[in-house]
Amino acid sequence: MKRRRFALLLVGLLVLGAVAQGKETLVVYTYDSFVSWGPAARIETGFEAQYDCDLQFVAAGGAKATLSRLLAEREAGETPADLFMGELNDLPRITAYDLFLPVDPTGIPNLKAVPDEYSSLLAVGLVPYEYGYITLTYDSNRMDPNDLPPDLASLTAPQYADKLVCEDPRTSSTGFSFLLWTIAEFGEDGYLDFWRRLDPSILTVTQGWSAAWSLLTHGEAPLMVSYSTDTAYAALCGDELRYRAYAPGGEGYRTVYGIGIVNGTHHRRLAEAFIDFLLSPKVQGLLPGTEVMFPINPDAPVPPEFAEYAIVPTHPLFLPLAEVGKKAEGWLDAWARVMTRR
Amino acid sequence: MARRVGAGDDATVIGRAVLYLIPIAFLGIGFYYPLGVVLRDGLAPGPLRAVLTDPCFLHLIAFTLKQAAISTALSLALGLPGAYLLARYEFPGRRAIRALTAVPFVLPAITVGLGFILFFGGNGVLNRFLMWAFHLPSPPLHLLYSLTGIVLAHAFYNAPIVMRTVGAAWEGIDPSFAEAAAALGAGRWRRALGITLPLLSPAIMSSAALVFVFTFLSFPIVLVLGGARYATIEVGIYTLVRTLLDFPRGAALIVVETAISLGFSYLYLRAEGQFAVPVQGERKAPRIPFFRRGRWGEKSLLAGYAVAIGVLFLGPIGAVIADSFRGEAGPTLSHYRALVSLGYNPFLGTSPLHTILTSLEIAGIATAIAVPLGAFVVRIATGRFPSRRIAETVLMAPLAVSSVAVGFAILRGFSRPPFNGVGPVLTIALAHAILIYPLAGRVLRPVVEGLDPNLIAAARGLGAGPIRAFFEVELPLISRGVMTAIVFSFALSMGEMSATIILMRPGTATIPVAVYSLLSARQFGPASAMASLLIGVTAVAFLAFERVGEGLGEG
Amino acid sequence: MERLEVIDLEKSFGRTRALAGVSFSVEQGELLALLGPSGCGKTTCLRLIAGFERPDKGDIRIDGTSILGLPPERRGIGFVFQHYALFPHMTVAKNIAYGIRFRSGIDVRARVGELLSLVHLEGRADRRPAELSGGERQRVALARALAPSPRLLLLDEPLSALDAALQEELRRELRRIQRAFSLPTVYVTHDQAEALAIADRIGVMNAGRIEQIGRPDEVYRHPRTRFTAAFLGRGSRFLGRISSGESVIVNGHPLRIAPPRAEIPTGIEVEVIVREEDVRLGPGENSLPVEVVESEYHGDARVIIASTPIGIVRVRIPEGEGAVQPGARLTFHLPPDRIFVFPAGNELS
Repeated sequence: MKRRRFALLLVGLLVLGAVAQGKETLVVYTYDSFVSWGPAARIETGFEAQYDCDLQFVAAGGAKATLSRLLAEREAGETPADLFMGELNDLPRITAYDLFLPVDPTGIPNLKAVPDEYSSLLAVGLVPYEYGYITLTYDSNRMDPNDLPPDLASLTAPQYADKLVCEDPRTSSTGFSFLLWTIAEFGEDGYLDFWRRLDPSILTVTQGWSAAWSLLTHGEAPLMVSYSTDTAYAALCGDELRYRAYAPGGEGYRTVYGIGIVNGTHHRRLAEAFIDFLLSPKVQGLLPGTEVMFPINPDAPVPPEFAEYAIVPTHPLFLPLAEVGKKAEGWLDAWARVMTRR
Repeated sequence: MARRVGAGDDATVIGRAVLYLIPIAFLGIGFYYPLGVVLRDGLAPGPLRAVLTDPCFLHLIAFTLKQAAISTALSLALGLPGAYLLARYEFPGRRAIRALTAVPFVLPAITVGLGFILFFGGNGVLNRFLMWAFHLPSPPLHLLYSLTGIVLAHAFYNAPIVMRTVGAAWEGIDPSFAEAAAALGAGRWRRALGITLPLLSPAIMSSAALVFVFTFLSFPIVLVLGGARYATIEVGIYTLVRTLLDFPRGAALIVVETAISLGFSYLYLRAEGQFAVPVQGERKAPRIPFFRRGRWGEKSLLAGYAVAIGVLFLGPIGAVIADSFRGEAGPTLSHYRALVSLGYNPFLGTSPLHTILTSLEIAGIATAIAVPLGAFVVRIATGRFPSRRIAETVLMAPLAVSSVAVGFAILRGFSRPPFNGVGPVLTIALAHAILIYPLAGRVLRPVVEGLDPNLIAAARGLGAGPIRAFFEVELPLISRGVMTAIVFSFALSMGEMSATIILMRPGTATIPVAVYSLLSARQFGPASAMASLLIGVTAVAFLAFERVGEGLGEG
Repeated sequence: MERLEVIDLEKSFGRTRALAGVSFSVEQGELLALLGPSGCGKTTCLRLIAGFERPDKGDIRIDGTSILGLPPERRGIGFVFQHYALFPHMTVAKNIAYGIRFRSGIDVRARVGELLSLVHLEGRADRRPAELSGGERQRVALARALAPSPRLLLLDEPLSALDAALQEELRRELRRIQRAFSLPTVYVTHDQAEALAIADRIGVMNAGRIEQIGRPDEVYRHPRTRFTAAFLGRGSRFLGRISSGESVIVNGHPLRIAPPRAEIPTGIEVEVIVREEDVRLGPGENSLPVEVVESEYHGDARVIIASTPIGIVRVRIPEGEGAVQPGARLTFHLPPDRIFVFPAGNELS
């Protein structure tokens, strides 16, 4: 009696397996905001329809967190990931773990839309699909534009005590970009001193961007480290333009998000098709409204609110990737030592 | 009636061996194997030495101990009067309040953080009220974003544990002791400090130790209310492991952290044995109706305390609930309407209803595993064999390992065959069960210890087999403890987020993770609605269980 | 002159009436035993005197002064609990010293030593209650209660948790000590042998009232209420009817009785109680032919259950007065003044 039941179960499972075998599955590891309020759902619908497959997104927190999960899985055995979407500053680590396959232009026709300045990224397998700038965002109800700090260094002035919220560079891409900004601005010899002097201005250092945004919108602090597209997003939503981005001294730190094919995938063709899909003007046109970032494809339609309100810093900063990769750990360590309260 | 020796006895021995082996096997596979995978890296001498000699890490350890000690002291200070109030006084709604003391425990840190910000923050309800009432130009209370905020939030979580544990013990103390002291001339204070307090000390120490371990391992609260500048060991592990991907040093820190908390657990267990005194007497003291004449001094103090405590707990919770009705143009029900829909919610990756059901499903499975497992641990702990303290410490080990570490360990351990076929719901439930069962054991222990073995012997002598004796005699007697264990386990699972978020896959969402996702998506209204739903569901569950538990075990 | 007076005490718990008007007094050096079945209110009465509860009505006075307004700690009363209530976290010495530690002018160590000798527990000073036997704990409880020189001693079934041999021994100890301290003492018990042996006076209680107070021999030999007669001693009970001032009919059989104290009208249903030791073998007043049903050997005595014209009678005779077997036909007689007659209640209590 038991044996018969077991056999039936086995047969059932096999049948199920056979049925499920029908469609090819593509697994994309990404950051949670892409899934929760990003374009993931619409991309999934469109891609599955076009390529008759099963597309699955996996997110385990922010980009850094998802990356560590991916690497953990790899180290332990196998990972189901075919593609990974992450932030540029994680690239050194990505290359250290040999995570990505080289990019093959023949499989990705839309690759030609990517501007030449990113060719170094393509060379290591990361295909950028959107970019943006880390700047400051302020609450216009609580802060007069004339009182805004004219440059980064003035943030340390006493009038800004307990007014700034920033994010932890160890856990947040936003925060990490801000740290790199200060290093680019004050150099490796000066950034720690800047942070020491900045400390009184900081109300708190949050784990991630969303907690910081929460503090801003609940009136706890009038100033935070955020994206230069914040005002544009509010306009797109039809909200009042209360929370406005601005670039102190015209500066901002460039942030780029890219996607790569995971080494070891069994679905390379389909993965390439996905990247192509992501770079297509139509999908790129989704990004400003959902990701609140600039699309990498210059041919993508950009909503008028973006054109009007999205800030492009006149002096965008960024540090060479190789340097970031080598020294990030040391910088984060040093930052932690200076900032941790005793 | 002579017993038949031979086949029957062999079967019993084998049966019992199997019964013991199942939980041991489960723990081995579910906890020790994944943990071993992680620790293998951490026990390498290089990283371990690096961690132990680096002043930065040593400072982490010192700060973690310091905030845990202060949090424990504050939790005790806030919880003990509540325990007294619940144990000794009768007033309308007492049972409901006692049931609701478990709710703060359930709330995910992100909700508590939001609630605290809404209520205690610079622009929060309390500050705005004080500014309005006293015509102040700027907020007078700076409670958050500092050690104060951390400690306050820890007390919010943990004072109710003290209230419940110590309250239950207080109820059980034989009033004859205090009466004897009174007859001998001791006034109220002398009785309270010299008699009642020592009799309560096992319960106080027990809850203090528990609170200490919790706050020692605390992580999301520290970050949300203290910010990244207040670093505990857990924060260190999290950043090393999740962002810097520095597995060796992360694992080394896990080893250090676990060693410290295991050390505390063991010390505590040893001390518990020494201080345990038989306080379960022949009588229980009847409760004094609060609204009767007399004892005005004490009652007004207690009333003041109740108001302050009410503010501490209801303030943040109320703020979250109020926030859930906040709309652009005034109060609205739209966020709740969205919750009840079956439609796919892009922010959750599934429908809200499915999220709620998944949470309930996981909680159910986790509880079904955790409570028997906890009972098993208690069996071992109360048995008679040498070095059972060590056995107990080993079995209680998951209590000393943080949720992040457990989630991470299971993730790594289960990502290779033959375990990688286990679905997300089951994996998460497993992680929850591992995290929860030591607590279930803790709750069950005093009840099981108080069980008179003669009753079981009597049942067996009358012809009941071991299973029948268990279900018909033992279980009803410990039903009160079992109910409490079930309720706590369920609650903990409903609110667990740290391990869950590590093991999540899209398409599977639990309520706390949904709150987190919604907050990340700037959907504060729906986030508060989800959080309010969590508060509501657990409050109802607790009240229901208390009702049933009272019916079964009260006597 | 320490004298305890309890006046018209009433106490209810919710709808349960525990005491329905109890009065008595206890003189210095006297031991009054409150004896009764569980639920009769004896412990409640004791707790009211101690101050652990407040009475609904009535008064409690020591030396003429009411102590009702005083909390237990100011009444100067020594209380010994049924389960001792020794403080488990303190040593024997600390337990005993508890009541005198903060009093000025007392050499605590000396006093503790004194009391330890009194109860023969020298050398146990540093033990904890958990390490002591039941009898030892009881003695510590007594020593502790006596240490502060109370003016009144209250004991709540202090020996009920001990085995029989120990009970007897400790009972004598208690009495000896109580006499030595000459304290007015109220001793609550449900064990009549204990009460009879130890008390100067016994108050028999039932359903919140005192049925009878008097010397043990008085209460035993001359019960004045139906309950008292039935509760004390062992015997046989029958229902009957008064047929005249000196006669009662039981099961159709007339018995001559001594005139009851309170006149009972003819024809009223009464309860007739005869103690087992009062039934005599052989012919005499109220002779009854009996057939032995059961014959029990009790070592020093024999208890015979016999079928008689009035019903089943229980007799206790010294062993040796002839071998008596079941089935034997004998004659019993009942002295009229040993037959107790009371108006029948609604139920036999």
